[in-house]
Amino acid sequence: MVIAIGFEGSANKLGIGIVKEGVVLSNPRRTYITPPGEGFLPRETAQHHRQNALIVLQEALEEAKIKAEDVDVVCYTKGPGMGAPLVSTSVVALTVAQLWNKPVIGVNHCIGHIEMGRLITGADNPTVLYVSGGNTQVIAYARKRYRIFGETIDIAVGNCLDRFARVLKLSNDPSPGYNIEQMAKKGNKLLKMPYAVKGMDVSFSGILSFMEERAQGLLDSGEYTPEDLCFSLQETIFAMLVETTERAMAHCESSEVLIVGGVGCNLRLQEMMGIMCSERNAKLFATDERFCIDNGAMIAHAGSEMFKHGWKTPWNETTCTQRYRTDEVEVIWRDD
Amino acid sequence: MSSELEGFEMMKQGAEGRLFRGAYLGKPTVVKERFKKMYRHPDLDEHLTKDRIKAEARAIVRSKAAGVRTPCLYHVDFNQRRLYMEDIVGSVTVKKFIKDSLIGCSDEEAMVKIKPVAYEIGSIIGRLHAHHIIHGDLTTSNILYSLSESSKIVLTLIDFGLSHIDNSAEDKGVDLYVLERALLSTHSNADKMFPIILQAYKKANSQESKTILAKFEEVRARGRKRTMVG
Amino acid sequence: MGEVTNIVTEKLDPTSGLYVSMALFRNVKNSKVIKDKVVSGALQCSIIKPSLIAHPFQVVVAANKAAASQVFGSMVTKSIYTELLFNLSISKNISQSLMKFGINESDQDILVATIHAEDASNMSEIMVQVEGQVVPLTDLQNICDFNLLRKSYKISEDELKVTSLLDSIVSRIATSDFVSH
Repeated sequence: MVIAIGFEGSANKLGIGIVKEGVVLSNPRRTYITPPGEGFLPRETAQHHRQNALIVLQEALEEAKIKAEDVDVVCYTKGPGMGAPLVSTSVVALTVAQLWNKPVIGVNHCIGHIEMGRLITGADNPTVLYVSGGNTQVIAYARKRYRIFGETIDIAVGNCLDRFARVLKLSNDPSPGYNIEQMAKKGNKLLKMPYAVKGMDVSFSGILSFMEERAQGLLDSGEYTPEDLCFSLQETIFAMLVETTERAMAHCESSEVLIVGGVGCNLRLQEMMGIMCSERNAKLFATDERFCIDNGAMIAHAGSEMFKHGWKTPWNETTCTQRYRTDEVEVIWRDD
Repeated sequence: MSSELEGFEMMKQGAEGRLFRGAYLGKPTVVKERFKKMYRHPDLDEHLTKDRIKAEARAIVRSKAAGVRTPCLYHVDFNQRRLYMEDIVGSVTVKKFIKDSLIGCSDEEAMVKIKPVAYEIGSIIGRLHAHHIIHGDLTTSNILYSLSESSKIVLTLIDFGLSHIDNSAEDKGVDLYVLERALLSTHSNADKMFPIILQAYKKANSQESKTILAKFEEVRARGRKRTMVG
Repeated sequence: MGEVTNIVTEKLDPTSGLYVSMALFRNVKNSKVIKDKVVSGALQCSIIKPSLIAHPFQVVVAANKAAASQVFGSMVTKSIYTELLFNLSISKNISQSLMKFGINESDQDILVATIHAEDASNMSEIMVQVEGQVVPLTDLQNICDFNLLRKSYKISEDELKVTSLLDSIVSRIATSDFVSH
């Protein structure tokens, strides 16, 4: 009965979660929210994580009714992500591991999302669409690796959404993407914008610049409302994501799709993906905001799987890395 | 308004659409019909599909001017989202040709047969790129092999569904990268074929090949390592 | 193609339910009369300059495009017959196209094309009005001006290494509304 604790802080969410044999015992989280029109920067984000780490850790232990001695392994996000936030979070995890004298496992953030998604939804071998503020990848598992079939060639889709929210000065509470989603529900006029799918890959910086340049003019002219712009942006970028996912599915002959990552909370994206799936007689799996959004339990769960299969991160390798590709990790915990 | 393709037989179905085979205007014809994607906003679906059909047809026509053999186009139907083109009868994919060449032969023996084909592949892609046509999906399934009456190797390039016109060296480098990866994942002797392809490519696109191959190496090395930004 | 006494008929896109029939005439004495009748609408057909036709299939593809445009309400010219002529050309200028591919009053060779429902061809009625000699459509090989065709459709030597003249022409006709040359 492995009990794992996981520390996640690669972006603006600080999460610490405890998992016991695939059961989430606790999963508290704090989000660093900046004022409207502003994005979060590494230094302040790291500061936020430092300020909240101990409180959240205590919450995690209390809610799970776990004591330090009960923990078998301490897991933390090794990467990818923003440097300072990653490090500030890992410092807490490593210190705690030393204090409690527990082994440590550095977990790939993307793999944390995937394994938690598989656990919660029961998806067996899905094509995974991983979409967040920092990542956009279409992943399929083959021969012990989570292989990247397609990805963004520039910015992540969540980044595109977040930055557009700043143009419209939308609130970042609870998240800019959530507020764009609510606005989009009230929009209905479609603005034609660049659609950039290149084979299995996608590109968002062109769309973002297009929108950044034109938004004010379109709003001032009265031709489009902010709701229409949010609607148009979503319809276009989500169509791009669904298309690349479908291509990967066709290539791998897969009949399951799993959406993970913060942008995966978006119900319109889920709806569109669902329509594509039903046209192909495939099944869609998605999680809710507890697990879509960065959280500690996903790190704990992935780390736990790794630990059970003999993985250990030696102390001199307990570093963090901003670039950590999903396909770099050997997935020793899967039999297929 | 879309009518069923009477008298046509479905050959293949992919994510983008379906391929049918039959007779049209008295000729053996392949029809590529693109699906209407219900998850897309109807306006988006319509203009995206139209743009893609245009891009595909344009690339097929321009490739001929570049001296690359492509199917003859018979009709373009935006309303029913179809492209009607020549069915190249009596050909096999290069993929099949290569695989068949290896049957009952040693690698060296097979390479004797494959070498001239690999060379010709490099030539045609070089010509394509010299005219700024990016195929977008170079695989051995998208090149057809046949022999002329005088036993000359004839290669026909098909499936321009992801093509576009661009003079950027980066896009051309990526085109080559896609081909390399496709070869590596399909053919055991890819490592012997690709250098020959590049050799012919350099000759066919002498003006730009240096820059393009440098980009190709860049894309290869990059292997998509990118910084994650919050 | 179906052949009945020098008239060649081909089925067009099934959505249209139409067919195209063609006949070739040489030593025509009343080209002016024929041309006037076509312009006035008294003769329902296209009268095409044979020197610019490499093979009947070229006309079939242009006719097919015209028939499809009629079905979907997207014709650019006034009638399906002027549409056929316009489609033969890669120029977007209607009058230039009609002039180039239509006949002059002094032309002695003419190619007649009609578009009709199955078994409802008006070709025989038209043919009796032409004062000229019906010849097999294969004679186009002798009449067609290869170099003029190459120039008109802007086909290079390089292209002819990998495709026949007819295939190049046909591909251009099929895409002339959105591919420029």
